[in-house]
Amino acid sequence: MGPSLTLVDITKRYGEVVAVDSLGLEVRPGEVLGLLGPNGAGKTTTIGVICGLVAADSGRVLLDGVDLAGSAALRRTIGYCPQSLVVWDRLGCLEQLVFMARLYGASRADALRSGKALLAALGLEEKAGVQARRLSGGMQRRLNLALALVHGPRLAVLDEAEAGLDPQSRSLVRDYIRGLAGERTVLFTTHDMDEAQRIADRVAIVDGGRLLELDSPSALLGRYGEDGRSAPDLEYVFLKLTGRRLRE
Amino acid sequence: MSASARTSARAASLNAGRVLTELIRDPAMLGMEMLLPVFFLFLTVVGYSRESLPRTWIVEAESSALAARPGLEEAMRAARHSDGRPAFELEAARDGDGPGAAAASRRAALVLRQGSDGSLVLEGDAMSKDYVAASNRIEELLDDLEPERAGGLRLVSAAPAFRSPASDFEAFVPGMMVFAVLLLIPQTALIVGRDSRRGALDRLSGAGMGAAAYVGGVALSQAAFALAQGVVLVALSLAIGYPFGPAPLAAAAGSLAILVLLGLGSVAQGLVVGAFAKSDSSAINVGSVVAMMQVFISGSFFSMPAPVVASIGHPGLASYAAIRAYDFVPATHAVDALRRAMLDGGSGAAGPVAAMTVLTLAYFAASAAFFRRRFMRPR
Repeated sequence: MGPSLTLVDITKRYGEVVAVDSLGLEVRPGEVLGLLGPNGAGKTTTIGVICGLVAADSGRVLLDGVDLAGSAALRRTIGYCPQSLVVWDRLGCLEQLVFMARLYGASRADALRSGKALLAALGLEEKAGVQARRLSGGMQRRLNLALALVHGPRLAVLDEAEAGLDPQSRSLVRDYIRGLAGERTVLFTTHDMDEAQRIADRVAIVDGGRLLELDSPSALLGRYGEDGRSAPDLEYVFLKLTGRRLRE
Repeated sequence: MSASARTSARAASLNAGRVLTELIRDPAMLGMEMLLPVFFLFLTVVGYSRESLPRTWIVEAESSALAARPGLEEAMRAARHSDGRPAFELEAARDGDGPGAAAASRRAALVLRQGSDGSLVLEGDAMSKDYVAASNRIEELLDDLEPERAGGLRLVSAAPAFRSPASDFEAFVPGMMVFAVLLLIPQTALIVGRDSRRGALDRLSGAGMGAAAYVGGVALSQAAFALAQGVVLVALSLAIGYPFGPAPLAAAAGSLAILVLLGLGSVAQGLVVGAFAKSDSSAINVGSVVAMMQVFISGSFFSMPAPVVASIGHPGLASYAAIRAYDFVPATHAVDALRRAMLDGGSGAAGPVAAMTVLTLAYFAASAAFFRRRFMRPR
């Protein structure tokens, strides 16, 4: 079973701008939780705080109740897939997966086994020896995701991992992420409400660095419906909560 | 070795393998690291003369200028280069009546004239190497004749510490080798700039890689290139007939060690530049400027004045010692050590090598500190 993740009163400021404002959130063990919010809502900063890339001004991040601050070993049980493509152009797909797995401490044999399994699961089996620069954008996206998961993390943190994928790839990745549930805990961000509705057990909607709602998609649809009817979709709920004002 | 040190060493070696693999597969980078040094030496072979240096300088002199300085004409006629050839060939210039035939045809290194205020005027092309060398030599002769010119103190004049280059070719090959190795600065900065731009530093940091492991990994991979560069440069220098002192193989081995050490110093500086680079292009641009600046101030091709940073004693005294800006550049010491190794079997190279080692370690420490501050910790 994946671990629980608890954010306690996280605040992060960049000068005058409050990116995350006293954010509290609990991701249940083995759950897939979608973190939704408009641009600038604080999603990526929150993820940065969880993964140790951003130092919060205050607050705590707990994994199974243990504070992540100062625990390098605990941080290594997190797999982080960044929003941007972070692949090494001139390394083969399997080569870079093995590199990352070994960096996390895996033996060469285990790294190879894990890398091959991930390539197969994400439809890149035939590209094992192909350098990343020769892959299509969608394949690079899948490789980007594989790099986050190759060391078998207990908590997967995926920042817009499906952005730019074609429907076929998106379906494959969606099924894969859904399949991680239970054994691993997954926290993902996306702007695709349909995507969130399909794969998330619960969604958290944030704006201005604050948590606005946290519940299952079906509960949110029921809660924000009108005239005794459910809301038509999650996007409707999202816009109702965050407004239609364009963000920077 | 502690567990964390073992983990860090393992991460550094994995990172080194990663960087090395990427470099070997990148034709542009590989060409820059391995083919440019070959091209530079090829340029030296075809571009610089192997004829003996320095030449005998033709000097046109006004008779009034010589008459006003008793002994100067005799001293100039007696002056010899280290190989026994005369330093000057004097030709008469008509007093106050324009250049003579040698100056008009630009064969003369300079013209000695009597200034209207009684001073000695050394007229010529100040950018010409012959003008600079000949006027320096005349000044030395005048110092011997007129000690009061230096305020009563005899200027310290030391014999060269090692055999001077006998030709442009001998003088410029070590400089060209240093120039080639200095290109590791922009190359290393580019590797770091690329990792920074594509977010790889965050990914590596997330996997537990610390600043020392990252810096160590890049340094290890680049050290492999520095060694390969050194081997190619020394082998080529032997192949093109560079006279490697009395024991050529030992001198070549010493030169290789100096080049590898300079390579490491360049990698360390590249890491410092890379720690501040925000993209590939800024990394390579700043790195290239740093490398080119060092080519000039290190004296690889010609000497350059540099501001004194600190000094002990008084200028003119034998005990005077000054630390100048170029002393902080490993290339300065590399040129010195390399010339000693290549021309004179390495006598006296220990000092410059020690200075290079200290500077290289300092730059590595600085790069690790900058990385820790800028990348490998939460922002």
